[in-house]
Amino acid sequence: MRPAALPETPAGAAVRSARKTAGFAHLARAGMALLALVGPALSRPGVAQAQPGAGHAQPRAGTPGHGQVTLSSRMGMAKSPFPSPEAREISGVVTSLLLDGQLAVTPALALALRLPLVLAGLDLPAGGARAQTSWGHPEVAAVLRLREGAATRLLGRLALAIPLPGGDAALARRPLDNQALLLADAQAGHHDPELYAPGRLALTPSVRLEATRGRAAAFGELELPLLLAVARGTPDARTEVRRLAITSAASAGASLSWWRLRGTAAAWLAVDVVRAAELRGQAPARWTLTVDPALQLRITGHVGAALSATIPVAGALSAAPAVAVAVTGDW
Amino acid sequence: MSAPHRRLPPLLALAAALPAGAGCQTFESYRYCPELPGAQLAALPARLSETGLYADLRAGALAPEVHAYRPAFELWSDGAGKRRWIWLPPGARIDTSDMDSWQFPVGTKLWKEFSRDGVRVETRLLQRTGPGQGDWATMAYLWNDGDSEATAAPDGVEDARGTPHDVPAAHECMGCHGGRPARVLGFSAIQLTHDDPPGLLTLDELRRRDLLTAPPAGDLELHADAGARAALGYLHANCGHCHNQDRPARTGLRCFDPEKPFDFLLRARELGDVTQTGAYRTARGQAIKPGDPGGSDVVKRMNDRGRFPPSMPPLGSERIDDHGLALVRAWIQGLR
Repeated sequence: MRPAALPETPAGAAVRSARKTAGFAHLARAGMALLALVGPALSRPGVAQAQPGAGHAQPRAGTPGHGQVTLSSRMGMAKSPFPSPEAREISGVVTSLLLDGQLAVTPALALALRLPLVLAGLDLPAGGARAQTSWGHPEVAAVLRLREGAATRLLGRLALAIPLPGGDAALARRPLDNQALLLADAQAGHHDPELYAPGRLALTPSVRLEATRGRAAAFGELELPLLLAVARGTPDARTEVRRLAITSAASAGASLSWWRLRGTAAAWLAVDVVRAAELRGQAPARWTLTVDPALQLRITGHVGAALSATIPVAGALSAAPAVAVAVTGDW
Repeated sequence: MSAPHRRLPPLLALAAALPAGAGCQTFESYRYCPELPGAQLAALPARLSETGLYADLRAGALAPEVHAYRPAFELWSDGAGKRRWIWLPPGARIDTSDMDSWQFPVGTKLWKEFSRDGVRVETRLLQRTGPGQGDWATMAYLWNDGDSEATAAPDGVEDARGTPHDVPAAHECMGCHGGRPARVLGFSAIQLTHDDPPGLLTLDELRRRDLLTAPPAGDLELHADAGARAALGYLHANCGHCHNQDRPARTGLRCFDPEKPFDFLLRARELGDVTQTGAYRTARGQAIKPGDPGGSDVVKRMNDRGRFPPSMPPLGSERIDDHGLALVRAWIQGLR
């Protein structure tokens, strides 16, 4: 999601504001140190904001050559249904790193790249754990500005994500059992199966509508990842693996800006239209509903930070919320 | 490069370093068990019938020189029924020069079968593969629905065969077995000092068969009342394999290494009375509060199956052992 520009506030005002409350003196000192670090960039108006867990970053109103890079890290305990006779559910502690970059090529077109990396501690059956690090699927995308009005705009996006080979011997034998990626997908509330569905090449068309009024903004988004199996492995005879899986993800949300901050709340509904793999006779819920609150801070004209959460509220997932932090820079 | 551009890379690096620094293995690090070498796994048979336990698996006939045994103090496994066997290479003897850490000849195999709710679920194999201290291979074999064969399950199985019993992954085995230099648990001088019916291996039977290099002079039993013997034996069997002060260093396949220096192991030279035992010497006044079982960490951890802080034992159990808990509570209650 591309947030509207935040109102500019000079660094000195921020510090004075913090100093008004004596009890927050330590906060003011910390803020001063932070602002001293990045203060020289404050003169530039407008900033791109990091939004982990609240949709793809979108290009700014685009001067060709303008770019943005976000590095986000989502952390937490995750659980996922698992289509295997050995374990109906898997769980673990997952840290998902995502590097998300984009570059405006023309005023109406931007190219985007996402590169996910998953560090997982996977729970073992008897109480132990094992570490697994996996690349998610690098994704390239074209983002088109389809329509733009005074307060609204419509964006279209077409992305291609390609699974990387690799992994240990067990994964080479059973590539669909990449539990780190499955947990990262669950941790993201199944918003981004194109990045994490093991062994699947993904073609993802999506559209997004944004509306802005004053300090408030709203958006709606619809994605339809088509997930084609390119590595099927040798699944158990009781597990049915489908060549083409289809997931749809829809979201709606709103945000409000104040000072350097922006608060956003979004709801995501992900539905497995055609499931990638299924244990015969087992029928876990096909949908997942999450709520994704986020708080963004504009640090300078070029640098922003965000704190967000992905909270499963209904459907297939029951794990604890995942928390994400992100830093965004643009030029 | 302008000022903000100069500061962007360090900020991004910081954002990346934070989660990496607080990454998965620094969280509950004790739980992480290294993968077994592929060659070690490949060296073990794919089927239980090929491991040498049975002469005729379908008939349940054991192979020659496979001996059943039972430890005096059992590991709690959520009420699972268990049977155990050992096979020693022909002519070989167990090096018992260290009575608390028997060294088994290369080729030794031990099996343990688990049944739950009347269903035979799995049989585990522990096999010495070489002369090095860590040269042991482990595997669980999952029984099929007709009980006609069990096949290797290196990744483990949750809720196996429709029971609540979880079969451990092969590399979880060293979570417990890696805590003792000999790697074998439950087959030791103290554990085999009991009067089992004929047919089961006991310390006496090992002596009679001349299978020990340095047989102990007498039986090895704690000189204490029955309650203390039962409680300290319980702690020995359920806690001592991790919580002991001469466990191997955490290298290789080791995992589940405790932070606190408690020692719940019973040792042959410390059986004169309760005050000589490791549990009394290292945990009394700390995890064990005399006269106050409710305030004792040992009891609190045994009486919980939560994750934070970890319940005890943290491996292989999802149910509280009410009987074991009662033994330990009663002993602590009587301590002064």
